[in-house]
Amino acid sequence: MQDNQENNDILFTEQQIAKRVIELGQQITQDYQDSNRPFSVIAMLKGSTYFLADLTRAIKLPLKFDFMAISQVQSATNIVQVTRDIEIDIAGNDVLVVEEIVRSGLTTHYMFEHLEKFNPASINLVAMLANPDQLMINLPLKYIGFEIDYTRVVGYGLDYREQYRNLGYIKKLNETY
Amino acid sequence: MPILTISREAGSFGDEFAERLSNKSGYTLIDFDQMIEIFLKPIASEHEKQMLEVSAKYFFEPITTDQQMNFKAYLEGSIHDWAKNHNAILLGCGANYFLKDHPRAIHLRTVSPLEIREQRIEISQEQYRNYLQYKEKNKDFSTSIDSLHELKFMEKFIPATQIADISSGDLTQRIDRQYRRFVSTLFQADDNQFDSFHLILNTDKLSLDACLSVVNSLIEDYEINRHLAKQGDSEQAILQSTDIPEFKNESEKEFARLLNLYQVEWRYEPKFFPVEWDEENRVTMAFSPDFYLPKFDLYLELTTMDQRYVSAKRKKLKKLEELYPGINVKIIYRRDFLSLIQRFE
Repeated sequence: MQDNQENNDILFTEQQIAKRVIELGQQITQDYQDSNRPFSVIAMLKGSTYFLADLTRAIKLPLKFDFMAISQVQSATNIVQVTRDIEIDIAGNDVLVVEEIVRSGLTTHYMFEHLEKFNPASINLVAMLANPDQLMINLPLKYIGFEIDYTRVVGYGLDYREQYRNLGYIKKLNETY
Repeated sequence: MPILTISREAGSFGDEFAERLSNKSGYTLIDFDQMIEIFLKPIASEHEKQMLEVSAKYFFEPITTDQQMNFKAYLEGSIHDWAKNHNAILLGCGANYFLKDHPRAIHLRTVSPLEIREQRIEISQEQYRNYLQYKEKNKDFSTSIDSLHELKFMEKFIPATQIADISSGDLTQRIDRQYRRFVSTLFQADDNQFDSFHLILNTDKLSLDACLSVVNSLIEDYEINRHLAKQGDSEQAILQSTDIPEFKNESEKEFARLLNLYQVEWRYEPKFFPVEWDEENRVTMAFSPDFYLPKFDLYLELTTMDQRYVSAKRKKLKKLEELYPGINVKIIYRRDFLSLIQRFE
């Protein structure tokens, strides 16, 4: 078994996550059901894949979804760039960005800047986990699954060196920042 | 961003323009008195500083610590060194002459027709009279009024009642003359020679918003050229900071790299905020946040090296927020910083 940590390292169990995702889905459904605009959900690879899969099934609205990925490009400029772009048209859409975790907000802000070039009608953010104290940049973080502190976490899509993503729960990595 | 110097004719809205440019860019505005205080503090006594504020000739007096050097030479050297890695707006005080051929300096001048300037000075005089009356009734009143900067400047040279009562034409000419005399004495130059300026802004024809827009384009052009010169690649140029400043430590350098990574525009220590003064109104404590992100109007202070300083910084930050309501400042703690660098480690 990949994970042999003790149970008290678990921060959020599978049941807690499932319950919270349903609640988020209901809230999002309620907030967007009166909009007459198309609804699109965009997730960042790879950490938010499980959250996206569960959340979109809990949202009882017609929607389309897509992924994007960013990566640090080793070049003279050494900057972050989009390495996988969305393929759906989001112009005039209500867009919901799905993130597994938001800490400083720098990555999410970069993603927002990119998506705004496609002229969505609105853009909001849902994060499974967020640490508001750590947020450096103001973002439209409308929905939060759970608030966390500085603890490093893995599971439910979150990794440590590409491991632990497939855990159904979220646990501490026994290391803080 | 480059160092900007602003020279102005009396009543040409130079002070208002400088103030608005400072607010828009986030860069510290330094006027003549502040320049004396900042650059000559290590070598000038209080008496000497007062003399320098009112007499251009006094700049040729030798400094106490080095009889071979006078105040002018010392000030020129200090400003030149400082301008290599700082950003600011220097208002008046012959800064365009001190930094005449400095590669990072852009020299601006505000002008307007004499008739228009006299009308503006007349309005300022009316405000000044109200200010004097209010001050007379309220002895403790000491608030400075930015729009009266020029008239308050003249208080050093002529009595306040004269400033309030002489004709606007005479007063405009006296302020102009004061400026000209200062430049002529200190630099043996003619203040009406415009060939040293990058841009002359006629505030009779251009609104201050238009002036800001033009200057912003000039700054962008400057930054692009500087950046391309460094990169040698027009396609790959990403604008963040004009130059790589001298960071105080490796954490700041790494943090700047992270902001560059996400293409977030930043400026390094662009402004200092006085937070404590002594009885004679001299600044005894100031806070100069490490980074400013113009897009978010956000100042960031890094506290990553020694956590013993955290409570001192928090105290300063609290004072800053009390004195400058609405300012957006955030402390980046060690764990925030580690979390940030972890993503791409």
